[in-house]
Amino acid sequence: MSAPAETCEQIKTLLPWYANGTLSDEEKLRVTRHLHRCPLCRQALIDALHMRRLIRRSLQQLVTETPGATSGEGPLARMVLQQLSRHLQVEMLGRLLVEAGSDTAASGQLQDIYSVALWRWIPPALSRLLRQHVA
Amino acid sequence: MDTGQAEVENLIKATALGDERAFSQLYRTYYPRLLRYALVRLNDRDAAHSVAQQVLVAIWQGADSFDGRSRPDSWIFGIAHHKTVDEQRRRDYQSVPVGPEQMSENLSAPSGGRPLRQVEHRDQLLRALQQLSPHHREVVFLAFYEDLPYQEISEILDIPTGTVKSRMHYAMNHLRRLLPRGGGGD
Repeated sequence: MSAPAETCEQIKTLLPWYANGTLSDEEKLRVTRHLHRCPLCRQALIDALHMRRLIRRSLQQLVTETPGATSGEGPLARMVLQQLSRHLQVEMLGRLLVEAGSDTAASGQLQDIYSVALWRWIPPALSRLLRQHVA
Repeated sequence: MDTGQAEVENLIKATALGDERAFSQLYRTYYPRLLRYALVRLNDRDAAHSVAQQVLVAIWQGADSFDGRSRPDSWIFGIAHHKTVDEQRRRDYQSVPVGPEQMSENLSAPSGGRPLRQVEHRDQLLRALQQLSPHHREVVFLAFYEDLPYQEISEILDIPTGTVKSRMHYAMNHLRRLLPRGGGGD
């Protein structure tokens, strides 16, 4: 005897993960079989794929346009960076420019150093702030 | 485990041994992703930056506690989930008022000269997302932005897989009502 056909409601709960490609092979097969004979669920899949694309695009833009998002320069990071002396920054950049041989590579390395400095060079005032923020 | 996650696992292990370059790479990879997650969950840019920072601090401090039983993404977003819940509680306790208008202002980014239709669709989506509860928003984010399987989302949020599916189902119905239908391009 063949297994009873799954209802649209059961299949619809799997569609978001069919759309993001993370279902198991067995689940994918179940969904594919159902989609083959159900136009309503096919439309629901199209909606899910469209929504996923819209969400990815919108959130990508949202954070790309958020100051400090791509550099990892949040409020705490900014506080640390402000405390690095201008002299030190200029000296590091100068050294990296010579070593890296190009502005782009040097800024990448400088960003690495900043991220490291964030965790290594934490003055007492910032430690207090971190203790408040970090449980 | 896929290659990307295997690489991240190595970075976490190296971070546990004090490798600052490995941590730096984790920082650059995860900061924007964590920021998006916290932004979607909290609707507040400053709070989102703060949460993303806190998660990175927790990774630096707790890398040696990562035992490799879960995928690195699950471990990291699990920490992010707990930090956002803490942040949300703190805000609730301090009664930080976030009405729909304020939320919209917080989430909406400047258009930056983008084509009007794209901006309209994005704003429409953000408004629709804002009408969902934080619990529903984070499931949508983890499923559609981070492309995580429902089992992993269940692990991150510490809820049954059935709840993950029902939250997503509810969110999809809500978004479907408010967003333009697919097929017409965007």
